[in-house]
Amino acid sequence: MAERATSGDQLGRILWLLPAASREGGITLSEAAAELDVPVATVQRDLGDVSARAFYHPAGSADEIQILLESNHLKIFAGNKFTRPCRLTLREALALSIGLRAVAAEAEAAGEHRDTLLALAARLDAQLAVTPSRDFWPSFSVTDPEGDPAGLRALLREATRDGRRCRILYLRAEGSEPSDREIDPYCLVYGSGRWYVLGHCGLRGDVRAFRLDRILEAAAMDVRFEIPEDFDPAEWLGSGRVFRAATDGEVRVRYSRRIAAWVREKGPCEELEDGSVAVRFPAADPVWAVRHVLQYGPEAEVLDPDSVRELVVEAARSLCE
Amino acid sequence: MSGSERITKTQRWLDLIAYLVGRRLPVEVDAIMEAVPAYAEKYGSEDAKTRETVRRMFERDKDELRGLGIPIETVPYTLHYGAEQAQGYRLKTSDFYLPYLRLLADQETGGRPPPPARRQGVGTVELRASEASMARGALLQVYDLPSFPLRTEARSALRKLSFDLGPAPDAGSGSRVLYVDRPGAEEIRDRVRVLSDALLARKRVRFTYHGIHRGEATARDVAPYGLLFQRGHWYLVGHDATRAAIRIFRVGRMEEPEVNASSPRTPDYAIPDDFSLEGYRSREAWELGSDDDGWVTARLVFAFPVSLWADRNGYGTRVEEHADGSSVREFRVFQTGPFLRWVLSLEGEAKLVEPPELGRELASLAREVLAVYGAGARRDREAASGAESDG
Repeated sequence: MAERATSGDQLGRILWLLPAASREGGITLSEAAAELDVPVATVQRDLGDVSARAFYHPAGSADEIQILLESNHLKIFAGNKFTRPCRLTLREALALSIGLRAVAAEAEAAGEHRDTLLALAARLDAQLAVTPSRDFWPSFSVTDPEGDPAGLRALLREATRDGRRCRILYLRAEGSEPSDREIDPYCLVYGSGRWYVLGHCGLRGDVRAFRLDRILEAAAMDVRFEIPEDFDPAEWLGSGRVFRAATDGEVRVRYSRRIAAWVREKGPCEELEDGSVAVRFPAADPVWAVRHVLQYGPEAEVLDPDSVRELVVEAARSLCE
Repeated sequence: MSGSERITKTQRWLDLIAYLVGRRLPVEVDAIMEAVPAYAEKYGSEDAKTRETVRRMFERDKDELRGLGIPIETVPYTLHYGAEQAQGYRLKTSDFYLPYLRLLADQETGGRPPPPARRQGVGTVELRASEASMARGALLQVYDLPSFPLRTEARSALRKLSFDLGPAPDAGSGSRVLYVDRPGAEEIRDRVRVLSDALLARKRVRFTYHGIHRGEATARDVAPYGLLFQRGHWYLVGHDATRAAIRIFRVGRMEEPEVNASSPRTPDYAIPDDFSLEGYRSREAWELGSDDDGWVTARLVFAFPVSLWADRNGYGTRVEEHADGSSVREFRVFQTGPFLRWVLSLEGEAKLVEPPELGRELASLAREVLAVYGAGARRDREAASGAESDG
């Protein structure tokens, strides 16, 4: 089983490498290794295996594949064979179909765009694949159930890729009026059941996490940005949740035994004697903390600090009346 | 050491492909046996058993290559003006090579004849620049998904498309979409791959499942119908023989799934025509239920600017809009518990106005929260402080 996977992988690499290096100008070894996602040594071994075929083929009977390797530069002459990559395999076609259909499903609001995507998925599947994936893609769904009703996630995803500044209309949790901001979206993050955008906020002059469901409008601007070298998204992804670490304060929340199993699945937590669990949220915004515990009703309780406990009590009282 | 012992499997496959590809006529098995060095040496043997062994090796190679997406065809043909029937093998240029991808500018609407293909037998597919970017974007999107079982294939498909479309945008290192890692992400990736292979081959899987409700572990025997990724988790939907019903399983809660290894090329089951995976995508928790279960219609008033947020995320249906920017939205609630907890988390920014009994339930839920904090409702507290002043 393992050998088949290895031989299959190697064949796949070689059948891409031969045409890629047959093109005018060839390819460098390091480019090939990066494209194939393997170390340079693996590419060298693959080339060695291709050229060694000359030793066991009776003279003149082998298809003539000539490999020229000058320092890092690779050029292959393969006659009229192997000058194109292979068609997409079933699994490659499936990955493409699943992806295009997921994008289409999330872009439901933009009806026309959705139909274009579905038509493209069907066309590429039929035209590029050895075995089209049409019998298999209905077995996979990777669409976010939240969807992307206004197409904002797609827009921001593209902006993160192209490094384009965006203008957004953002509604803060405190309930004040939505504010116009210019942000440099560094990356999209999914955590704690929500999408966030991490990026530099022009208004605050610092990196902030924006909840995507609170971005009411967004438009890409004609301004490019570079992500600063000292930006490390890992700082925000501590303890399996999206928060900025290394700032003052934390909120400690206890979850009852009834819901402890779900909480344990989400990330590290502290086991308490009665079977309940506690989680520390670094630098949690009090507004966030209040809403977070209230969604669990009496099954979650802020243990510390007292100031946040008081806010929960105040919110619950207002709802009793 | 004989020559063929030095020949690796990949080399043998490459020799076979190189021999077959581009031949116009099907080739009979004897010709293949002579032309591919790894076969030729043993096929020349006097011993019938050795000849049979190498013949079987070719059969296996052909099947494995087909599995890897190399479409070697078995073609019947006639010899001696139809007097004899024979079977040959063929690897058509048009089936093997990726068509040329020709990039059209977005304003180009086609109509022009495509340029002659540079290689005979390899077609051309025209793509607008926007379509090429959608295709790549879609592949990058699935590549970024945690534990996506076809991640390697998404990457290799991107590589093939880039052959004509120019360098691909960064995959992997340049990824701009991150998922907060959950414990055990590595094992989940392996399990999802096993399940997706079983799903493609329509083979049953067995696993031990740890249900979250009673914390018990049960043995399951499931015919996989679909794999779902949602809210950061992978789920398997399938027909569970131990329950004689369709069930949904979280991949993170199963122990090493084992695929039925008998007759790997024969499907164990067929997915019923009326099965649709879409029905298993969860909506909001309060929307889970069927029309037979009954529901209540609830109305919430969203104050401004939370009304904008409810609009943007499509919560419920907007039925009224007021001059102050607030709006009334209607919800069909199948599960009142999750709905009330959600309303509670909005901290009064959405007021439940209908039905009144649901409003009373909300107030009682809020009192339960106060009890956790050892605090009473304001009325109780005032009563208590009144008692103090009396004393």
